[in-house]
Amino acid sequence: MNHQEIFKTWKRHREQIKVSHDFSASVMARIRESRATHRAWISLLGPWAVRPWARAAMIAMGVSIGLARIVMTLQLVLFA
Amino acid sequence: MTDELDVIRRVLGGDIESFRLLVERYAGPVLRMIRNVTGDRHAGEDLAQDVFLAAFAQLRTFDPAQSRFSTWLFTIARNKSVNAAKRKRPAYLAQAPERIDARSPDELAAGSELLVALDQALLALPIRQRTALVLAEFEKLPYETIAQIEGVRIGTIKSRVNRARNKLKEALNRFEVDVS
Repeated sequence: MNHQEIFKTWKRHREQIKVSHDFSASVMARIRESRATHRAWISLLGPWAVRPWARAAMIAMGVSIGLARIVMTLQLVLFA
Repeated sequence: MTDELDVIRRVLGGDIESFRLLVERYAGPVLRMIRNVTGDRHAGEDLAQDVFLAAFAQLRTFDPAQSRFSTWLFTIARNKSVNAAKRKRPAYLAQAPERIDARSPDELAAGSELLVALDQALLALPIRQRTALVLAEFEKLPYETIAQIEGVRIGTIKSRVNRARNKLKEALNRFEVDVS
């Protein structure tokens, strides 16, 4: 068998793909789930967002979480 | 293409279920690309699901004037596959196909080993060469589209694909020398 035939056989082998029958259903379920979570967060935080002090608190919390993540990453990078 | 844009418009308009049409159309190519880039035959579907989830979440950023939907989707799939391949480099041993063709057992065994050697050579390629080769050889995308996905010039893609092909040829030659 020459190189070209081997390469063609290999390509055929790697091109074969079987997608599980419930793949699309799983993707759609995850999409619906993520949208439901998103909506839940919006309905939870929405009413608070109109109060300036609550907005400031949410921003402060977001910044704190961001800083904590940066510190944790730096710690991992520098001391791992 | 036009009906694809129509589907996208419907999804953006709130008809989420229409997104299933896009998932069904591109599940195969996306999964094949992920499996060929990461070399992981089992974890591919989870990553492919993540690709479609990310595509759904970012659908508003898709601009039909900039690229085709498939190019945009492959860019997401490419980025996720590269990240996954960098995170985990599996000790991959490809499964030889059950039956290649009607040859003697010795020839068949040699053929299967050659396929495994090529699988390993593919995974040993630098990630940029691997993604370029996978998109060109298995997805049969034109160089221009691959350049768009990779965010580089066409010349760069041509040279990456050529280098990758040469390395695979070298792997075949090495294998034959080792066997003889």
